[in-house]
Amino acid sequence: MSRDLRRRQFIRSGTIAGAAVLAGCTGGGSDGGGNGSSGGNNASESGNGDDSSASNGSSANESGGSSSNSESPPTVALSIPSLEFTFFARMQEVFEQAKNQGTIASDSSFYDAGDSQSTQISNVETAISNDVAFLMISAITAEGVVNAINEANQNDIPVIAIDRNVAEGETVTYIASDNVQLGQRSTELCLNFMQESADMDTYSVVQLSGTPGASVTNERGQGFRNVVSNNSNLEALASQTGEFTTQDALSTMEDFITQYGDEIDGVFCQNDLMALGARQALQSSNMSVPITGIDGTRAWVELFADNQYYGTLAQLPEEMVTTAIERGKAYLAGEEVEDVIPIDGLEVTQENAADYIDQYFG
Amino acid sequence: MSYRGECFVVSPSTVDTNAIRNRLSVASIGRYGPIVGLVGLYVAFTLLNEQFLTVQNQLNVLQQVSIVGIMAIGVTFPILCAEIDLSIAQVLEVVGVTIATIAVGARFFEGQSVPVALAVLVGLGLGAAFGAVSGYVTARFGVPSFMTTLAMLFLADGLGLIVSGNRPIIGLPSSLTAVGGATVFGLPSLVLVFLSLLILSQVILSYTKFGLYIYAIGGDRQSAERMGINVMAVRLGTLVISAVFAGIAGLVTLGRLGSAVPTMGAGLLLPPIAAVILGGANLFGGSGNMIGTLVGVLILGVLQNGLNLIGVGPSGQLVAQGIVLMLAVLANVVGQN
Repeated sequence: MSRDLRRRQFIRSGTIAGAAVLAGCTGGGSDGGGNGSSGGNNASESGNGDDSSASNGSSANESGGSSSNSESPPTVALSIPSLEFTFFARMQEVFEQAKNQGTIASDSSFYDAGDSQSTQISNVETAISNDVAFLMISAITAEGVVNAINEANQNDIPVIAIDRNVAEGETVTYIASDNVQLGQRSTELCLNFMQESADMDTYSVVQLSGTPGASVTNERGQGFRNVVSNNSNLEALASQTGEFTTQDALSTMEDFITQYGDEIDGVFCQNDLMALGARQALQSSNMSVPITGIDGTRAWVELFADNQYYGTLAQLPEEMVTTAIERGKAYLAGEEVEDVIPIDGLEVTQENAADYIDQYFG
Repeated sequence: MSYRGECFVVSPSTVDTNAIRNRLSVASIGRYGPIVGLVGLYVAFTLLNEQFLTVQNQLNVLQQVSIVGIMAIGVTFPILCAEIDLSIAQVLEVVGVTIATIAVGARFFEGQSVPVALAVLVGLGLGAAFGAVSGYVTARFGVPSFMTTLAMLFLADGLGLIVSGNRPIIGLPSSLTAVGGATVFGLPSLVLVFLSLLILSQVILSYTKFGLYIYAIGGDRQSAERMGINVMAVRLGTLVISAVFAGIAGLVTLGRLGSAVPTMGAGLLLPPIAAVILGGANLFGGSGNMIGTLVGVLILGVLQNGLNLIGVGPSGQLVAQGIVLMLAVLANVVGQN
């Protein structure tokens, strides 16, 4: 029996430890997007980027920081968390384009950290020893790269944070989507759809929000509330979490339909995966109301062909990198650069859905 | 094989008598604390919200709990046998996206679409393979199932990402989504799948030797071994069953969502296990049954649905869930003593 007892104790302690580990894992997974604006949301799509030129940074370059003030384009580096996410694969594409067009030197390096914190630190260190003119980084976690950023500061290499900010150290600027604005514009788009589809005095909208407590959820929710309070003809019927997932959004939407039924005039979802779930629930109840999301996830945009009242606000990683390169060069030229540069989302509706897919996923 | 027959006869005196008593306690469900909790939730929500006790909403609840329910039924087997399966959510994911990609002929299986039936078989076979690997390592080498299934969790997660290319798959054939998304005689097919699996599993537990052996091993593995029960086969079997059920859950999820999303298993590990324990099963094996699991699943589902209907916000829901779970488990323990 004593052996049995020990076994049970082992299982018990193991279960507790495991539950903790797993809770950590799932927590991390769901608010991976909490840090910046991408993670959890873009996790749904990924990996169409080719790694062909992922790292040629080891080649010696004398033309680095020293000659950057001359006419020749600067040698720069871009470090991203993982090419697994389409979001970052798209960054790589535009980085390669910039190299080919001569906006940046051809020996500029792109680093994929493969979602490993230590790899990203090594990548930054490699960039520092290559003496790049400036470093662009989308950090895996805001805290994890602090030492590497400090090292870059000591070596007088300017740092530009993209999409996810860094916790400490000097950065030239921080370039990212403004989630409050994304929430606001997506809600407004939903209101426009509702006004187009029916003529009423007031419109009732429900919100499917993201993982509770994640900064993305709070900011996009803030945008939603701003629009509701600024428009007397818009009423927030209910708001509930869909955990940024299709499945939770589906269940929550079903409950909304049960409770409010035909009162619902429109649905605002804090990401596109939840919009997929909301659509599924509405379809099963033979209802059709306007739905808008955020992110520009391909699977959602592809559905726009069937319904003119579906929409989203796409995030544009391409523009983030282009802006980062442009502002970085301006900084090297001695210009003042804003501390934070928000990137506007692109409004995608039935009209430009095909173009959007061609341009960014073609 | 004759000694197995004997074992059946002598078992009441040799096997932990507790295990036998609990096995037969299906007949006396009324004693269960969780039932009281479930009824309490129904009364409370009916009073608080007029939509709650409508046929449509109750069908919704059944539909919403079915996926967690199918996983919970599956994971009841290892739990009764004093094992645990931590890989269920990821197995659901990998089986779901595998079936979808093969049936559509996309991503990893670009341009190789096959008939839906074959895709389903391949998917469920893959699920069974996950269970068989963790089950074999656990049963043959004595590695705790906690660790082997944790390893499977990572493996299945990674394979799921590879197969799906980490992107949602849409445009599934209607014959595939029908398994979880159609309506038969006014009932969602998803619910029918759930209830038939529930009945099947209770029959296995109540009327087969395999079912008896599960309780015997869960109650006291050494005694079971001395009686000549093939402990290895039974432990392996429970993990295979759990993985296959998780695979079936993945299959019906395709119908429910109308698409395959690589994150569709997110947050689906703890609810099924919680439901099993909530339904009165012992986390360390030997007691519990499928009816209890059903009650546990319903408590979780009704709570969520009811709170959504009365419009409690996300933070309030978490608080309410914590309180109700604590009370339900307490009622469960008090009821059993």
